[in-house]
Amino acid sequence: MFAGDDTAEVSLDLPCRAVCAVRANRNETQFLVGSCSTSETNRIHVLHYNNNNNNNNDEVNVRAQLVQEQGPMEVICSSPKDPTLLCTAHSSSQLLLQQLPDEAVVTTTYSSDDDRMDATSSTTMEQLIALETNGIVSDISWGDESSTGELLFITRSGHLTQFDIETQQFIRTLSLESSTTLPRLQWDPHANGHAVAVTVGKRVHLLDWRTDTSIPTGTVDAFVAHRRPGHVTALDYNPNKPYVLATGGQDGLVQFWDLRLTNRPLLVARGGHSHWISSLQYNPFHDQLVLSSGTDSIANLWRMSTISSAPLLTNDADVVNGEEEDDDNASETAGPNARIARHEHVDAIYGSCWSAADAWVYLTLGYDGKVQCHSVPSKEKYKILL
Amino acid sequence: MNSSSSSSSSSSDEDDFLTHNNKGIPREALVRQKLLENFYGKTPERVWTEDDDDSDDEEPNDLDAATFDARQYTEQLIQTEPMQRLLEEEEQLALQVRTLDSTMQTMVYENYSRFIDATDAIRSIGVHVTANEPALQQLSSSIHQLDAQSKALEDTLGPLRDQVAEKIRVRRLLTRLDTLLKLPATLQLYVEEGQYQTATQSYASAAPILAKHSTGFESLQKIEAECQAILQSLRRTVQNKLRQWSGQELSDEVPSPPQSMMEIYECIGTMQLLFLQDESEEETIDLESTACAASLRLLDRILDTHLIDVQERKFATTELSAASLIATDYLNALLEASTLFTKQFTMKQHLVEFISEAYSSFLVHTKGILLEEQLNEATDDEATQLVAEATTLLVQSVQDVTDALQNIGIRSEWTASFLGQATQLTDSLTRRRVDQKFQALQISMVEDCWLPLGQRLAEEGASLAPPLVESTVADCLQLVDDTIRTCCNGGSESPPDLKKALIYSVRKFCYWWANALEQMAGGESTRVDRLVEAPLGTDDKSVNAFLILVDEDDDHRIDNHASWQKLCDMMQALTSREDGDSAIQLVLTVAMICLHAESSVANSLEESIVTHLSGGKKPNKSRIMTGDMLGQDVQERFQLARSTVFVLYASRRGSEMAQLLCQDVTQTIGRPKESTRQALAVAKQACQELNEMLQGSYKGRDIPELESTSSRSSISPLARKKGLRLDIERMFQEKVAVFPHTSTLLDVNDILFLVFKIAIRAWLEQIRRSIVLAEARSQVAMDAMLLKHLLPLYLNEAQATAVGNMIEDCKLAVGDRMDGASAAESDNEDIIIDAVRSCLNDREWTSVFVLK
Repeated sequence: MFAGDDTAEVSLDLPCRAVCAVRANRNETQFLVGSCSTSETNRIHVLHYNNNNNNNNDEVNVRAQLVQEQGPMEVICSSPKDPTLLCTAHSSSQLLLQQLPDEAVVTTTYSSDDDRMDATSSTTMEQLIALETNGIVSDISWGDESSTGELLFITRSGHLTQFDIETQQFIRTLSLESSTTLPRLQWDPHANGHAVAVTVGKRVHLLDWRTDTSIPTGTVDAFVAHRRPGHVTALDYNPNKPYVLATGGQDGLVQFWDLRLTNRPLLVARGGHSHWISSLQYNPFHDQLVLSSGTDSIANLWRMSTISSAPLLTNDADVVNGEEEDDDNASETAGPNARIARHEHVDAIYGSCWSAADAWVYLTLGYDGKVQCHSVPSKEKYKILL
Repeated sequence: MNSSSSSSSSSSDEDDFLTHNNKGIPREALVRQKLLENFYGKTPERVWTEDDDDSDDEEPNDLDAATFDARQYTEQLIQTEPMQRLLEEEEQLALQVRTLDSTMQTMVYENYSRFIDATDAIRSIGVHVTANEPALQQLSSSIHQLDAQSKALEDTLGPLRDQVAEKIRVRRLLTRLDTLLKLPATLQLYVEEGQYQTATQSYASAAPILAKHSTGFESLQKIEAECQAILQSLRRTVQNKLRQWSGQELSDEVPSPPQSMMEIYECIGTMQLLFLQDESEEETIDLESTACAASLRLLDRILDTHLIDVQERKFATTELSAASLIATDYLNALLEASTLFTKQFTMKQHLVEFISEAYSSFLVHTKGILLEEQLNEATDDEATQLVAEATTLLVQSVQDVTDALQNIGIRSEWTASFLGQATQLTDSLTRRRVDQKFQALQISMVEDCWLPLGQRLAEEGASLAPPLVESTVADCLQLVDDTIRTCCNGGSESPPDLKKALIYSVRKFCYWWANALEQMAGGESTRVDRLVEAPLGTDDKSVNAFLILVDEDDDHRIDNHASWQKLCDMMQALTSREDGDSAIQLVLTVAMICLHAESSVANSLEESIVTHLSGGKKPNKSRIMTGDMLGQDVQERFQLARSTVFVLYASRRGSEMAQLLCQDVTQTIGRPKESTRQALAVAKQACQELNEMLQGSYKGRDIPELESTSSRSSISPLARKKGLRLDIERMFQEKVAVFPHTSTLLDVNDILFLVFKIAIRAWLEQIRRSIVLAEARSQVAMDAMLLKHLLPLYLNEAQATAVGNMIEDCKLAVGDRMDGASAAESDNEDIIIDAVRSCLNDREWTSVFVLK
């Protein structure tokens, strides 16, 4: 049940880029996947991950499929408070705030899988707000529980907008330089809604987002994150340790930065990807674990112990010796920092995310619509827990 | 002491207390033995073993024994011995029998002649005796007379003699009594002189006598009491001293610390004598550990004194000699303690522990002193000399001590490690010294060679100057050579140590060098705490092999050095400069340095090591070639560095090309785009630059003819296949990994392949995120056709096929990203081919990207 090889798979049969975990549901592992087909009807799929302890079978089911008429979905983002609330960005330069029907996310309503599919495929969603944006939105960050309602999004052309859902008002907009790559952004989880990191081209901009305008442009610092040629394509803050930011780039490297000293990275992870990194996610509970996925259709799970908030105490060599080196990749995963799992899809991976309910479950999404749910290898899990 | 209980005869008894005859032989027997020895000469010791029971030993096979059984012997011989042996035996026996016969004959003859002689003599006596009878009678009477006279004398002198004997005995008793009476004073004297053992022994031998006789005499009682008091206080003093010295407890009465090992063992011996009366085992063991602890403390004090001594000398600016750096006193004291210990105790367990402990603290001490001395080395060549001499002395004296320890019965396996440890210390000192020099070298190389190069690159910007690169590499090599020379000049270490240390340091330095080059071009630091390396494939572990020698502390030092950071900043500024291609020039320069280093560093440094180790003489070539000291590793490391730098170059050129390809994919102009032409121009430029550097004989090729019957199906609007069929098809299609992070990439074709891979893959990504109209699809198909058609100009066949597949993927992708309404429309392929052909026929248009 905990073995890393156990992978639950489901195929959605539509090209997909957008995925997110239902953040407000802390009891069940649920994900939302949005498709981006140009020729067929696009859908939002509500996925439910079932970790069935009795028969050692992990399974992931499509609980609901909801038709979207607004064109291919670029980004999908769920509310941190309300499991039925979500925000989608479409290729038609539209940003929608929508509400899922309750039965799509709430359990115990259905008896069998078939019923579920039939019952929900016809369900439509309630559209709450529709915004015309200044270009296609490439990333959305929904503020934490404390600052709900602060929706931050950036368009491909570099227009950064903050929108308050409750008052339905634009709070602030900012124009950054435009680049050929998709800009990414992320609220700083430690700054209480005051700081934002944005990638534009080769640079990572750190923005002061406080309401006072003492810093006119809002940019506190901007640094070239990847010295190898190529742009920054992904970023994530360490959820437990302030000032630590992970970035992924077109050079296939994952780099970790201390934002107080950005002249060189804290750590570089090399060799994991042979093409661009499309998504980079810290585990929301245990910041030793970092998930990276790339357009080379590979997803890697890294253990970055030394720069985490709680470095592992046990000497890894002892652990290896103690377990008689029962698996042949023991030497590969030795050392405090290492890649501990590698998954391969058929097509490029554009989205991956951690479950909000289970600290050890993560999902990778292939462009061909194949969804894989994995769990962290039990050996690594115990290393972190014990 | 047991004599006192065995006999009541006081005189012999009292004799014994001085002679300590503890053997079990009775006195009379001893006298008899002496007399017999005088008469017969030395007799075998066995005489004294009263019951001699080996007399009835039956030896049937001993020819000379009385119990010899001839039949049995013969039978045994026949049964057990081989024929040859039997024959020899028989022959020998026959010979012996003959010899015996002749001997017997001779003896019979001799006896017979003697018998005749004797008969003659007897006969002559008979004649003479009768003649002398009166004289004999006279003799008899004289003897009788003599007898009478002697009896008379005996009667008169006998009592007198007895009296004399009695007086002698009394006198002896009186002397002893005197000794007894003076005993307290003597004991006191001994105690004051520190001869505790002698004092205790004297008391121990006198005590029984005192005990026996004191009942009647008051004076003796007093003496006994006095002696016991002295002994008590002696015991207290000794115990106190030992406790203090071994650090067990501290009392108010602090004795002066021991001056020598003798003093400690005097006390230990005394305690042992005292305890012997109690005969308790535990106390003895306790004593052993006390002795060890006290000795260790004394040894520690010697070390402290030595340290102070060394420091005082340093401050007094007196010449430090090598001998003064090594605490030879300590080793001597250690040896003395061990010798005394073996004399005093039989158990070796404590001794071994003691020696190991003492030795290890000696090594720590010596290491400390030598390291401190070595710190001065950077400025002082004499210090180097001094340390070298001192280490030689150290090994020598440890050798001596080890030998001596073996002589007093310490087994060699216990001492074997000592010499090894000392040599190890020497080795590590050498290695450390060499290492320090190379650390300084890192900084000076950055400051003297690379910073100027960086400055020139920053100032002149564009032009790549091969002579400049060559001279930089030469300068670097010269610096390393100088460092090796200073390492060799410094001391007189034995060459193997130095050579090992040098090779280790040079190798480490070269790895750092290669990595520094990588970093200058924009690569990552290979510091273990900075890099996580995941093998891309399953069998790809080449890089990790080079990470082993990376020393975190060293790299930390150079990483934080101002010059290195300045260089990094300079390089970064160059890399991120927007104008022109200074970044490309930088990467190419570094690649060139790597190329030069790869071909020359390993050999020339090996040569330097050999030359300087042999004292500056040029050794013959063959010796250099055979000693594969730095071997392939260094060369391979530079090769890897070059490969890494080429990957950086390819990424740079690739993204340049990608940027051109990705320019507005939705745009349609009805013929191959200008940006595509420019992208191909980038490929041409890369090709030229690489050829120039690698001196490849790369030939320009003509543009192949464009066939009009190219397959139509690949760009059908329904190209996107569904479900299982697609899955299976993709499963068998080989994936092209874009970045080969660790594989070697050394050939012009390889690098160009990577450039194309990066560009085409980026194009695919760009297409995937756009939504296009039907016209844009034809546009992409047109550009794709042009690119695919021209691939053989730059790549070999397999590579062209791989990139061709990627281009097909792009065409597929653009079919997928059609706007819903226009998806059904089909391309007119003839128009596409015509457009491409017309471009290819335009000489001016193609001249931008065609290699001449």
